[in-house]
Amino acid sequence: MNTLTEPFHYAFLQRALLEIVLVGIVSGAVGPLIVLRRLAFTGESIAETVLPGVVLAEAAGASLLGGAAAFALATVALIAAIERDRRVVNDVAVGIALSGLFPLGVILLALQTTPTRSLQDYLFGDLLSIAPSDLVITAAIAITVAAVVTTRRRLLIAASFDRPFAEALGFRAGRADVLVLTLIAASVLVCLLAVGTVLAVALLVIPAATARLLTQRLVPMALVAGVIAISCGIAALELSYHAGLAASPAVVLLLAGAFLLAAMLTAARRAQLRSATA
Amino acid sequence: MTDLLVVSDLTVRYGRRVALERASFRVAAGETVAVVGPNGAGKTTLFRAILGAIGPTAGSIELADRPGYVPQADDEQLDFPLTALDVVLMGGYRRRRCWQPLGRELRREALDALARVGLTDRARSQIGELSGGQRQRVVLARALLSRSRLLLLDEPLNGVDATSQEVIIELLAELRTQGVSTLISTHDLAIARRISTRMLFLSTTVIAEGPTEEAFTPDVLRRTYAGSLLVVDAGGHALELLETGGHAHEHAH
Repeated sequence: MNTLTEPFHYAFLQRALLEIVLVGIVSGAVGPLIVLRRLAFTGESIAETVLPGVVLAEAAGASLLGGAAAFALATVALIAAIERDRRVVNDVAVGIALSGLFPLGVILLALQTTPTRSLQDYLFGDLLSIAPSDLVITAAIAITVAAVVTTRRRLLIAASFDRPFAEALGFRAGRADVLVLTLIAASVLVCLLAVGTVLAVALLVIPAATARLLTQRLVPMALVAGVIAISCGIAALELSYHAGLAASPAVVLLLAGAFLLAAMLTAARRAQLRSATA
Repeated sequence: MTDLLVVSDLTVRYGRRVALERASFRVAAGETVAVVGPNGAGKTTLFRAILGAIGPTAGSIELADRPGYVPQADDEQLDFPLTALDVVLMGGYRRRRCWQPLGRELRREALDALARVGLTDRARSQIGELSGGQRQRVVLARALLSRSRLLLLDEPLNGVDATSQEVIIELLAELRTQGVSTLISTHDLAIARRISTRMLFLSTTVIAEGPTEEAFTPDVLRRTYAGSLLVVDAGGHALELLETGGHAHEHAH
């Protein structure tokens, strides 16, 4: 037991643990929306379009998380604006936003002669070097995301499952779309600290996709997704402390492993059911 | 009789295209109104305008109640982790504040609604595991939970098996006796004639509207379908309707 709790005597690992819990909260709250509405590409794109915001904030000496937040919201606004033309579907709007903002980030990054450590952390993430101030902000974001999903769950479910019916109930489906994009953007910000822009969306998508294989109801799916994200995150911290592995990529690798395991279990269960009914 | 819906001179345009022009009609309590017309006649536009999903370009819509709604069948979201009971409960979403749980009373009502469409034993089934006809009965049960006195059903019998079709038709008759009005769009003229008390013939504008036996005439059909249907007078009230596109073949006797 001591071996398991030993890492968490250190302040930086306590912060990493707290960050993992926050990731678990947004992963459970927003991950199912991304998976069920098939918005993985949108999430990935929002994560990548924050790059210019991070680089500009770095150059200006401002908060990198603030820069990322500004560009995440700008991406949401851009996608929503492009989508207002009914001839442009979501994927195309996201693609346009991505191809407009990501190259800008690459150019700005190339202009940086000596990228600092903190900038690299934002690109590739480092669970073990999270600043207390960033953690406070992400905690506020995660709690807000969870509160919004909880209070607006009926709008989100109805608009995701049956858009015309949601509109008939008096819900604005268009507003639900923008709300979902904003929730994804906010969740990406929470995950940035853990794994960076490149892998952020994996922390939202993989736990929910794994939970979908294991559950048949929405609330259990959300809870299981959160538990999977937290469990893999803690396991990655243990591996990092005891085996010297890089914690951030380890989280994503463990999540991918959990998905693979769940997929195999599901396939085995189906095969068993088929042979029982044959 | 109390009017639950009054549509006056309703015009809806999408840009330059006129989807619906100067449509006027009323729906009183306990009426079953079949809305028929060719593709592009404005049936879905009319429903969306009544539901408030699109604003009228001109004219007005007066509603006594927010209508319950059964949208056209959509197989897109069958992988959603929802049971039939979960889907029916959506009908009660607006009856609870966002922080309130749906509660036992609403659950009991949802189970009653499922019983009315003959699906008590499928309450815990995943929505994606049900047949097309069963899913259509589930969304009808969901509309019942709105407790509205006016239901809008957008092609509820499309692709539905015979059992489900009969269950739905019987339920509509039962609702009529309870004073609930229904507005049903359908392409099936034989069914429309069988189940409705009134008919609304639509082809961008209202061609004819009135009690079914008066409105359902060869002349009205000719004007409504203008070339897309061949109307053959087979003597007396019998009509044979053949879609000139070559797909549908319907008999209305």
